[in-house]
Amino acid sequence: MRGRAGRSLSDRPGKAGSSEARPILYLSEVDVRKYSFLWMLFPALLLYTVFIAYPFFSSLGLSFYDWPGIGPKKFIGLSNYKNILSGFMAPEFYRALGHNIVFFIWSLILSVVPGLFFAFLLSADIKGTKFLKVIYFFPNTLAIVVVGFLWGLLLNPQWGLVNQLFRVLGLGFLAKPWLGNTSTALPTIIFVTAWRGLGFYILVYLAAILGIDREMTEAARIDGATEMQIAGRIILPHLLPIIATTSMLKFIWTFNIFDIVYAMEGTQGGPAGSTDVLGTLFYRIAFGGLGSSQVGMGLGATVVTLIFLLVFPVSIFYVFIVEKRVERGE
Amino acid sequence: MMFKLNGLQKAIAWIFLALLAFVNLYPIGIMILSSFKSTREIFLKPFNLPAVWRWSNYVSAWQRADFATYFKNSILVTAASIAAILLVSSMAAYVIARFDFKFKRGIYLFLLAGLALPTRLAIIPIFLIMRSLHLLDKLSGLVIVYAAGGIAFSVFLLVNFFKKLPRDIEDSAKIDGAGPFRIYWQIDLPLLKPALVTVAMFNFIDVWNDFFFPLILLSSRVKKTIPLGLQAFFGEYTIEWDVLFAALNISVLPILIIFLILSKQFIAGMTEGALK
Amino acid sequence: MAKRFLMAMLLLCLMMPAWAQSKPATVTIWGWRAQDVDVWKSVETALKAKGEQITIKYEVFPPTEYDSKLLVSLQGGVGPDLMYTRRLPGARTQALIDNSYLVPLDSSVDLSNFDNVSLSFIRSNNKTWGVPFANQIVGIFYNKAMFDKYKLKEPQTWDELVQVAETLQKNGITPFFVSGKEAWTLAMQNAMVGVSYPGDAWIGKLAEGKAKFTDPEYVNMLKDLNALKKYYQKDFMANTTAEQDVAFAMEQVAMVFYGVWGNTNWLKTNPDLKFDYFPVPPKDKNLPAKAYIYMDGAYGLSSASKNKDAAIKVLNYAGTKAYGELFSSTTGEITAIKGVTMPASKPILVKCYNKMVTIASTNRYWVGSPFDAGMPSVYNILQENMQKMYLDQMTPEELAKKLQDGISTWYPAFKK
Repeated sequence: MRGRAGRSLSDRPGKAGSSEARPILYLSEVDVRKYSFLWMLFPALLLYTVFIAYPFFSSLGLSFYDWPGIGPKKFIGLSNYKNILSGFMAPEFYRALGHNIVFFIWSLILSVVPGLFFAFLLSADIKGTKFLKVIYFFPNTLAIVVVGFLWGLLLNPQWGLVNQLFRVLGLGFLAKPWLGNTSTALPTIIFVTAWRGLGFYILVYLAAILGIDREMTEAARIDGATEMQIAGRIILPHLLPIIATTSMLKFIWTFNIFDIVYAMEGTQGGPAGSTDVLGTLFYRIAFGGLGSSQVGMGLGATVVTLIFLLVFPVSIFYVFIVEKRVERGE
Repeated sequence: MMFKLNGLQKAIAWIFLALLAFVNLYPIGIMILSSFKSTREIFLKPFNLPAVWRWSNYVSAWQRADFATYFKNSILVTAASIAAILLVSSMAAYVIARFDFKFKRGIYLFLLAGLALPTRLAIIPIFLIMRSLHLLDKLSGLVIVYAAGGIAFSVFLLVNFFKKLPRDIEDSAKIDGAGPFRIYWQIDLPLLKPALVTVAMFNFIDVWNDFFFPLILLSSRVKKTIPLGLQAFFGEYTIEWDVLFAALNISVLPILIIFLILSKQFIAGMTEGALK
Repeated sequence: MAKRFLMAMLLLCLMMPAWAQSKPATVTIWGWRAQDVDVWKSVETALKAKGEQITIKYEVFPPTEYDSKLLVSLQGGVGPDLMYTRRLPGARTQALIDNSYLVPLDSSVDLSNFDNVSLSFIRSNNKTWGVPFANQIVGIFYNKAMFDKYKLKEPQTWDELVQVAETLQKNGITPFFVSGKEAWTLAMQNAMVGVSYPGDAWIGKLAEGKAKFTDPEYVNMLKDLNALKKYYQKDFMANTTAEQDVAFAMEQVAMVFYGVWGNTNWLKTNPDLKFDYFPVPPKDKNLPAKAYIYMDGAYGLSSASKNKDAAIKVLNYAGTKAYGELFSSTTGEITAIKGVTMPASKPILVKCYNKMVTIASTNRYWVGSPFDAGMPSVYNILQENMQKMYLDQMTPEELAKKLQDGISTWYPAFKK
């Protein structure tokens, strides 16, 4: 590691340490210059601490209270956790958790498989694919509310275009009430999410493919390897780390999912709770929303704390992996 | 070019590529076409081209929803938020990528915890802080929240970009006596343009489309941003789908234009490895 | 120096109230009803004509987000002067009352133009906490042209209703459009059938704990309701109310289970639509058909308001007959003020108002009922489980048991 600016503030040897009479935090002129970079960290740290971290962690404390969102708070210890993990909220909580897991697994498959497939195609010697990258990414720029509204119309059972298309193609048996059936609603929302997000994964995987050393593939080609073999035996193994990192990012995003379910099936996560996820469950408990008049900020905070406990270790692991890879210069 | 394909393979590849482009564009095409139809046509003849191209849908959407005000607010808030995010996040990322100091790892992880925090829960404390700073019902209050909220993901992306920059130029600048800020500002930042565009784009999408924070932090009609105005519009004109579609398109247009202008650099930023 | 400055500040502060009073006042109102924007504009004009220098600032928030916005703002001390409040019993409005965010209005506002039923929806601890703005009536709305064409009459019993549906279906017309994707409409459907089918008196017994949801009266109703679904449009579980509005307005369907507020959207889409209302008929022809009525909401006065005098003037105006007429003619809904003549241009309002006065049920188990005051409420349980019943994932018996068990966890008369 070249270019390191110095050691940490407190354990520095030499000049500062030799004059014991000085206050510990006294910095010599040289030191001031040495650590003058630190101020550049502060604006971000300050903004983030005051407006994100502090409010969030102070909210987590609410999980030990009974509080309808207004008036005095009542300390109730771990009752909220008991209610959610094994009490009257447990069926809804585990159902939502299950939906999140299903959501994660399927949206992972729907991003990795077609993502890799199209990244492979885009990295082949085909001309005129530049504008396709723009088209593929475009749905990502649409607000989720807009995506939900749009697909809600397209998926309407009677006059929606999806079912009309199936009927025109002679696939009438596929014309289903997609969002009105407990067995199809969640898969449909997963599909719409994949529709919006696929372009992102294509571009990320394409970047990784283009970053692979060309000499390796050329050498294989000279040795008589087919294109399929090159893809499977040389390129794919090199992509495993990036697949792992995007999967973890997907995990973090999936467990915070709310907007798309809210836009397509409302706060109830209908029909009959078949699309209810932790995000909508939290929203319903903490803010109510149409149809339920009872709210509990404390109970809501408990759900969020549990989500956080689930997701945070994965985030740390994710950062750790990414850092390792960057340091190895991949 | 990682792969060499023969003619038949290329044709098959094109079929797949075109199919995906179709799946991506078709719903958007419908959204645009529908905005020129009457509500009756939207329902009864969804496949057809509009019988008459009704530009009047756009006129009435624009007039009824006071979009001019919403646009002004949204543009102000988004531009200021992104400028703030880019500045503070790139400075912080530069420090984290380039220097070693005690607690560095801890500070970095602390910032990155933000990746996993749903800020909705924290709305009451955020609201109270904003009130004590007299920033309620002010666009500047919104900008601060967005700037703070964008830091985690932006720092994370930018640190990795900074780490990939060659050190040689920096080192020679250091010998010339340039301080850390000058190196950051004059040498590293210009090299990071694609990365900054990528970060800006991600934040643009989030900030432009956000609905929740304007709802809670703003109260006056004249301060509304587009998503908030659009939501109110949806509530008021639930079944005037012709006008709704027009309004939807109006709200999407700015992001489309900016995306098309920046797409080259954005794609470059992404394919240089935003996430590696 | 500093002392003089302080004195000056103090003087300034003392002068402030006097100065504020001579200034025209601005009353801020927050609500969830976009259709009321023009109402408040007219109120401002009317007040100015009476010489009141009051400016009204009405801000609308989406209905789904209104309550969280209001809660957060009130706690931050930056709420409005007047706020739309939901009806009682209901945890949200009760919380506002319990924490003194609302001011009782009995001594300051003239409420003599409201009947006791309307006021009962916003009364608690023997005090009145708001000025009611609308009463809603729900039931079956039907396409007159279709009924005329097949010589159908408004059914008097449940079996006649099924006969009507059968005739329509035989003639290739979809009898009912149901928006099963929006669970609240299914809960509402259940409730409007309930007031006639097991009946008003039975619900009265239920509220006292002398009847149970698992009784045959209620279970049979659920069975009949579940059997009715063969007359709904195909794939009804995937439809929304917006789609229902369009389908009904464009005469694609003969009947909908809905509320009187729907007429505005229908007439906007198709001004020539001829439609009418009848309450859900009873099973037993000896029982009276009843209409489900509830008070929609009220205007409450914030205890933190700095313009209480002006706000009370606005509230007093909202309690007059002039306001009631203004409200009904502007929004096409039924004002909560009694004795107001409905606009003749809207025959459906005249009809519904008449039904409201004559056949309102006195007992109910959906909104504005004692069963909506705890967790899980009848409303909560019905939303999810009506969907399950219609999807054949739950039998009517199981749904009845779910209601009985859920309510028994908190409802005093069910706990033995």
